[in-house]
Amino acid sequence: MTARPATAATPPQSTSPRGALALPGDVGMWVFVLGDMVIFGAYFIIFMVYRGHEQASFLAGERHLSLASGAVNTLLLLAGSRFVALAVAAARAGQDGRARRLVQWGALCGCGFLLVKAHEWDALVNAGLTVTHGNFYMFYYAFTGVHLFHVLMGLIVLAIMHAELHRPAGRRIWLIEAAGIYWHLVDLLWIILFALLYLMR
Amino acid sequence: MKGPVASRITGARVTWTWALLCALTGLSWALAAERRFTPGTALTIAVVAIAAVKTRFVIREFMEVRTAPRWLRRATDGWLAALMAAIIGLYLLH
Repeated sequence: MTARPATAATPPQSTSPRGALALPGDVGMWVFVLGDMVIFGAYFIIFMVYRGHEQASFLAGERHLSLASGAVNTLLLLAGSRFVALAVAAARAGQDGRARRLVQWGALCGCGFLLVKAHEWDALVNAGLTVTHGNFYMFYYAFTGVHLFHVLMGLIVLAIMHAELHRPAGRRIWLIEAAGIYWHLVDLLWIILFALLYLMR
Repeated sequence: MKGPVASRITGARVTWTWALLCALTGLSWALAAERRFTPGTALTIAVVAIAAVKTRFVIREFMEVRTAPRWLRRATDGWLAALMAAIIGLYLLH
């Protein structure tokens, strides 16, 4: 286990002096990310238990979801993850301007996700498929709501990452990496949600 | 100045990973669109397996766990294996 890399004194700084194996970001972020993964994992398992007991009603609920919305949102988050991963690589190379532009593109993908999700919720609510419409929709709104909160948090984290890239003299690469890791967490949780809510039959 | 550790992910690798993830998303989208309204064990196992592969790529490549210390590689792989086994197991149970 490793401690957080030393604060960069001069740009561009190396990520870590410890050779090939190094913890990206910092331990604090990983504790949060792993904790979040375990909590979501537990809820995914609870979902599967309920689904097993009410297979027909879950399948009936699923048919009203827009498969295209779920897929487009997956592609938006994947594109966002690509931009942010490229931003981290650019920041390491000392290309802060390029890194900032990439973070902006990543945030744009996140905003696109919010718009698609808002449109999807609007259509479902207008069709009378609200949170009270059975256990499938109870889980659907709880999962997508908590996930949406993660996307909003992710946008704040990207803003922090962007601000850090405006401090060439003292920017902390571990903080930039940690912000990227949080953004990818939002992506990976959605990948599993997409499979559980939209894809499985 | 030679900044990053040599094994850190490159831009080209990020883009290849992203392209693969998009292709896998398209594949699971097409598979699920084929069968909208009836239960399908093979389809379900396929889409859950694709989701597991995608999740692992995000963790290993984008989060750079591939070049992280062993405890983190084991923790993330253990989480993914346990979760996917539970999802498939609970699906098959009913």
